[in-house]
Amino acid sequence: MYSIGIDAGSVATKGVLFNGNIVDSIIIPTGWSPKGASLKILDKLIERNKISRDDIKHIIGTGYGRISMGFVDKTITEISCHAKGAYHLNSNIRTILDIGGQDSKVISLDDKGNVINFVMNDKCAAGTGKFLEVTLNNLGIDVRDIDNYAKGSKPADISSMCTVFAESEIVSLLAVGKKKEEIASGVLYSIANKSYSLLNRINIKDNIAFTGGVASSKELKNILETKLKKKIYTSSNTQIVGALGAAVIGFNLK
Amino acid sequence: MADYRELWESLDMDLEKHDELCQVLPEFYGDIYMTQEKRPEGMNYFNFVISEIHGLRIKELNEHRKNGKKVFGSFCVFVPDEVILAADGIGVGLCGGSEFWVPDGEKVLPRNMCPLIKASVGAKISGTCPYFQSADMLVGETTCDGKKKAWEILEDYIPMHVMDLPQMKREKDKENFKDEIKIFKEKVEEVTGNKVSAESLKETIKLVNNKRKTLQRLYNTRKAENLPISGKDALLITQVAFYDDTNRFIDKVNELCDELENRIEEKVSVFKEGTPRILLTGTPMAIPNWKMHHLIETSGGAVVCEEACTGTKYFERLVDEDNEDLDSQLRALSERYMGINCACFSPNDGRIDDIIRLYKEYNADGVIYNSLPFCHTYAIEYKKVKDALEKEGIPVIMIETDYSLQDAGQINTRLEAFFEMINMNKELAI
Amino acid sequence: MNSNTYILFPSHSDGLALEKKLKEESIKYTISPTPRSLSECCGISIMISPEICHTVESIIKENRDIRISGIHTIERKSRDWFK
Repeated sequence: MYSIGIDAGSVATKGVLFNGNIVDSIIIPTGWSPKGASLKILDKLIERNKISRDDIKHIIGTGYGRISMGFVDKTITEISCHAKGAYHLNSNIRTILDIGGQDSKVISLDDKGNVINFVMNDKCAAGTGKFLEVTLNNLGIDVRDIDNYAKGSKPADISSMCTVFAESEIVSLLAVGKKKEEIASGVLYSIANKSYSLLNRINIKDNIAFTGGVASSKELKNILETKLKKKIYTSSNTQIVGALGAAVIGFNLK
Repeated sequence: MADYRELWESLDMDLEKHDELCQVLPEFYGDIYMTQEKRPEGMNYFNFVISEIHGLRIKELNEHRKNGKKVFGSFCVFVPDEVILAADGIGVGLCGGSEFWVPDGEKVLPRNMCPLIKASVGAKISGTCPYFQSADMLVGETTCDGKKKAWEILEDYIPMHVMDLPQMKREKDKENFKDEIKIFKEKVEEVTGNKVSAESLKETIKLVNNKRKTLQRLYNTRKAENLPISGKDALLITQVAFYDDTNRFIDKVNELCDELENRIEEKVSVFKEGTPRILLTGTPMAIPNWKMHHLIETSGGAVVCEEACTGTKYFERLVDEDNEDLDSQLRALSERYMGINCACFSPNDGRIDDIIRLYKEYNADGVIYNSLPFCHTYAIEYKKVKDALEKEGIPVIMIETDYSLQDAGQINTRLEAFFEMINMNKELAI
Repeated sequence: MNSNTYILFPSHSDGLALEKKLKEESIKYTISPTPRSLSECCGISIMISPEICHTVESIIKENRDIRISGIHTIERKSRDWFK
């Protein structure tokens, strides 16, 4: 028996096929239709693993696009799903920092992987993937290459948390001749500062996991570890943690 | 259909702009309120009040004025209605709860301030709220910096009286507020031309206490395991309490309570079993701000109590009725009003005790701390409330939001996650 | 069709008079703001299910002192304001 978890985020839609372990996973851009993207993931997971729809016990939808997934058995918020997913990968995790495309959140878990507290950023892109994307766009840097630029550079001081203000601040920094590398590093420090204050709004307990698309940046992870004076765990499949959690919940659902 | 346009015109209203409001309200109310299932029949009265919100009640106020009597508009639960009523005046609550008035408020106020103040000022200067237009005098108070300074602007449009509310609760502060009530009484006497006597004040103290007792009776029905009424409906009743005719309101709410108490006997609930019970605490929700209740009750929760000005702060605790002379009556009024645990006081530990007590009394499963943006007193107080609730093992989240409709998706996710967390913990407890 | 019938009145007192009759006859009704599509004036109307329209019409006929200004059946539409 299998379960499937689908996480439709603002940027990417992720899917996991699960049978107690991860069998397969897919990430595709959400595009304009979270529903279309999630259906595509469902078809692909079934097709390329040569299983039939009847082999799937439960399909669980999560992410902001979950409301458009009429075909799933249940929808669950990304907060509960991230908790389950991260706990499945490492049962010592008690705190999760998740930075996605349009929001960032911190989740606190008990020793069974249940959510006991969580905080989310307010309706503002500060410290999210969107912030990274917009600011790097000014520098002509692809989000995936951020570490290559930021690593070892002295961070330029970007004081604005607001994406719109930060953008104009970067234009001014470029005008006075600051190097791309320094600004890129400054952008990561800005996200780290915002995450640090979000983390401090709850009781931080070890171990800490860093998930979501933005967690792909090793440099950001290093900056955060230095600030927190704690080790942070990331996973190579950090983007699929929400979908994995959805699949785990679906697998355990009666 | 009654045509109130002539009445509105006589109140110097901007009819064209007001019409935009009239276009939206029936649909907005219909979609938010009338779509609820198993609503008590007694809510028909409140459907009536809302349908006639700019009609019948305005007509009543203006008939009262035609007879030479006065209408006082207020913005806060600290303004003593007893005094107004004792001088044969009518008090109406005027806080603005709609985005509709915000742009007009921003014409004269800074943008980055509380939407309640912006909407209230906007409602007056745009001439689109017949209640503001029917008031002979507005009564402000010094509960926060925003309001305090906004009165100075409103003063250019309508006569104002401002009550100085102390910000601490020492003996001398209670004595001060008693003095403030006395000054207010003299003002009311001057405006109405009627003396407030110990006899008339004794009577109106009883009347307003009765209104409080009626609301207490209503809220008691929400302590039942099977909820006979939605939080959204209960909020509406509390909002209407601020401007409806006191005697009629008492009668109608008591009728509704008979029905609700029957429902409790018959175990009728408007929510399905196991729905997380939420205590909402924080800033006031002025009509037609039904946003948080609507979002909570359409994403899997039920509001069982409001620890807010539009909630328990309005009706908990009564004024001592056993005083025969004005001086001791004024002291009794000060005692009751100064007992309200508003975030404008420092310190305000009484509010934390209230929240924990109400959480237990209403068998709540979690607390949602709701704050309007730029409300510093409530936003800062969250820290102390959160720490105290965490110590008690009570789940709590803070949601800061204004009147706009745009952030609903994000709030829904937080609410759903909060309910998932509560349900998960409930399952584990079994 | 998913629809509601609205009875409109020249004044709120006629509406309340009909409400009293409907209550006496145990007929299910809801007081409602008048939909804007039916009248430009704000105020109350009485909403009933179209199936009982005939019954209510005969009650109105029997009580000539209750004035109405129209009976309309319209499709039930609702929109989610917060989405």
